[in-house]
Amino acid sequence: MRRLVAAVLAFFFTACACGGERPLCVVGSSSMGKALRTLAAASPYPIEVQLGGTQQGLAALAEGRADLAACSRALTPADGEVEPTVLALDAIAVVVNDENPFTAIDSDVLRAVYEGEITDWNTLGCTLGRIVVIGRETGSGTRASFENAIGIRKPAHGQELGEDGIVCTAVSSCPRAIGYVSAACEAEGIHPLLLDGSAISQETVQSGTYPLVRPFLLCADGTDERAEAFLVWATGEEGRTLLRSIGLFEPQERQ
Amino acid sequence: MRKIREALYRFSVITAAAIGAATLLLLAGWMLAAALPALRASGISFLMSPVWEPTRERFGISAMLLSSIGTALGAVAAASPAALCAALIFGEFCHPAVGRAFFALNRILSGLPSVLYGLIGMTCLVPVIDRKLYPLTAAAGGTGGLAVILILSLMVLPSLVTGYEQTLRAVPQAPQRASAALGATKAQTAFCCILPSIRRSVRLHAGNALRRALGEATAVLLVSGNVVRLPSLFAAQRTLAGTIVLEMGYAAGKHRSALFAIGLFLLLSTALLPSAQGEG
Repeated sequence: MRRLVAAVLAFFFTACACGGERPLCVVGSSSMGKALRTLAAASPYPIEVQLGGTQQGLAALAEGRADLAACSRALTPADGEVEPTVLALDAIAVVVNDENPFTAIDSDVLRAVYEGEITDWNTLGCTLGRIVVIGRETGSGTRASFENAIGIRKPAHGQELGEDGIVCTAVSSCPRAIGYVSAACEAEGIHPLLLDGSAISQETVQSGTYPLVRPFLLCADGTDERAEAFLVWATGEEGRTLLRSIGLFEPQERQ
Repeated sequence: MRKIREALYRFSVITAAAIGAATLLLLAGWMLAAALPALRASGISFLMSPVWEPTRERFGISAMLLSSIGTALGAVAAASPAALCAALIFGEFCHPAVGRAFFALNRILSGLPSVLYGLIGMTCLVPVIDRKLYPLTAAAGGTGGLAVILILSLMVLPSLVTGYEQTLRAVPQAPQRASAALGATKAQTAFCCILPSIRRSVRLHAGNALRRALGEATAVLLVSGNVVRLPSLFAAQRTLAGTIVLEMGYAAGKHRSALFAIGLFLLLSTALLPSAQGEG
């Protein structure tokens, strides 16, 4: 929650600090908020960040209200003609409470847990009791990526929460809980599980060995020179270092 | 000179009133306009269907509506008697200094932001419910109707106490003195003479509390579990106000319109509740 307050403050300060020249307007996914604000704070170009959702970002770009759209999922043909630049890769971590002795899980077991076929930790070999399955609300990009990658069609959630930070708090206060959050989200009292035997690291994320990876994209319409300049800076050494420092991963090919 | 001043006052009062009324009308009209696409597409099933799947454009609010009504009624039913007793004890029975200290503390409580109540509920109340009632709330990890009712009743308590305190202070002294002169004890006076005389005001303040409980979202979101399904004390559920906060961030098109329809619905239901405006 402290992080949320800090984020809001940072947002206002960046918004106020941009006087004079019209700032570059980035609209899109709220999951990318931290990454965008980190970049905006260090960027040589004034940036204005508006968070809503991937869909809103693309709509704003198409209507000319935004210079760049922030997308936290792979683009589909329905998204229209835009030029995506991969800013970074984000891994989704499956987390459990520290009282939970599990350190690894397979994706089929995970699917069975989230679809309600396995409802008790005892089935998996420990004595915690009933599993509290924590998911995100419909429409969340994190949820869409998670369910696509694991193959979940009809989730049987015990709780649906609205934010990574809240999922972390809920898991840390319930020993029987399991949840998924962006790997950039750290909290005390919880630990990530190895998924299909692989941990989250630069190598496993880049090669795709770790199954829960999604791209963070910045989409331009190719009409704004300042947007292009910003993209070059953000995918350059300085931008990459900043994004690494908040727990994101470098995409495979470098520009 | 006085005439000019009076005309000036008259003008500014009328203008202010007109601005207020116009804002309210504009707000309601704008919400109606924003809500219409979803209402037209879903028709009566918007109210009757319990299925809320915005990604498939299926908007039915009945499950969330029942959850909102149930938790709000439960919270006010739990908080109202407690608030009345607290106001009676600290206003009539105990030492005036203690009473003043209590009511000062109560006013501080009523100023706390709701997210604080939610966090307290999430980190303290929900785990306790989970442990004590296991395995009743097992699948939801302690969240659900019970947690929502407890948190909401805590949240409406301070304003209820303040309301009842003011009501009790406005009760005329003569009947109480007469009651005492007849040999009634303080408790007999309170229950047989004071309480019946403020029945109407109790109902109005309860209406106000109900309105606040219906509209509360931030705190509820943290303890309700938020899965859309028919309400139960021991399973996760979602309220109307909670849905607006949870989904407004990224809703677009019909989905956004459906959220406005929920807002319109909340506006109407709170407008229909009895109000304690201008009552002692």
